[in-house]
Amino acid sequence: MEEQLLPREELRPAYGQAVWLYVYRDFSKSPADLAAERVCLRFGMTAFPQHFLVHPGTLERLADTGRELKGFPATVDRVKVPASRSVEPAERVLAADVRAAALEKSGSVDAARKSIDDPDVLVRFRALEILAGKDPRPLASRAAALLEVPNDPFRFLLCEALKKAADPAAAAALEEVAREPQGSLNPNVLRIRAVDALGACGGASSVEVVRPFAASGEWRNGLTRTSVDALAAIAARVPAARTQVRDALAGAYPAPPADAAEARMCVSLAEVVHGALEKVTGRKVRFPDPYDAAARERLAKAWK
Amino acid sequence: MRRIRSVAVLAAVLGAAGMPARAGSETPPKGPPWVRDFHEAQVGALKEGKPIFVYLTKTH
Repeated sequence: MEEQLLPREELRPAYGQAVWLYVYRDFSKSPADLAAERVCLRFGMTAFPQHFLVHPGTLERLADTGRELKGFPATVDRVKVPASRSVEPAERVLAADVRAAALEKSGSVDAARKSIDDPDVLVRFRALEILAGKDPRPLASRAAALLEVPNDPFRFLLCEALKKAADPAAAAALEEVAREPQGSLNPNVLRIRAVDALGACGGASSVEVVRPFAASGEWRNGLTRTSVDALAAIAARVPAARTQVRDALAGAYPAPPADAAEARMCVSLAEVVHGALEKVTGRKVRFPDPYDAAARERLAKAWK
Repeated sequence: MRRIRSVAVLAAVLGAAGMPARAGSETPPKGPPWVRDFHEAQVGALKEGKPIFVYLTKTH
């Protein structure tokens, strides 16, 4: 899309109104790819392609031009940035790159603990990488503050670390993110990560947060299966939550679709729900063939 | 092997002919005066008083 849009004659006046930065990742880990990775991490990008206008001093996202010609030149024209005699913000970023590289090279847990509150988000990310790998447990008590860092790669990795820590102290903060993934550019994926971590950290209160995602019936959304798995994991760890989980899962059998082409995916999800219920209850119930509306209704009652 | 060579030759010919960059290409789209280095872009934008248009893409 952009390859057709950006060379358009109508955009020519905008060429002089911004500095145009092209960032390309090939995941080769070459110096150029690693430089591109740093930019992506700094701007919290987890999906491609993306383009937006940023302030060169604060690196704040100022506007999105969209992918249509209509409105694109006007958006670039509207965004004003005063000229600056100082290039200190650029030097600050360079210095942070040096700190991040040193931290990554050292792999030191002590240094990572100190750097997790660095003013630069790339340094924080590198610190988190080390702690997630070597010492995730202390992150649980700080989960609420750290999950507020407005950067998706950071929050995705933090959820993984919290899952590894498996500490109930992180549950409330994860529940909050699962309910409302505020400020995320990729909210569904952030939700998936938070729910996945709740499988390891959550308790009875988490069941009500996860229940609507499990019961959504959206077999194409990874959040649905992750939620079913998380509920089963909570039931396995927290005996007091088992009845609540059983009821949540019994309500998670997806509605059979009118479209036959979708039926296979629907049945596949129904089987996942069914398997989770067997694990949670320790009972065996025959999975019906065919799986239709009547069978779904019977199954929902079969576990009571 | 012959097929790989043919594809490589075709790619070289298309590149030489100035065909538009593919989506997710190492070569940026034609048009804007692209900068590839973040520091250079930031310094330039600060001095000139302009926003940075950041275009992030990846290999497909």
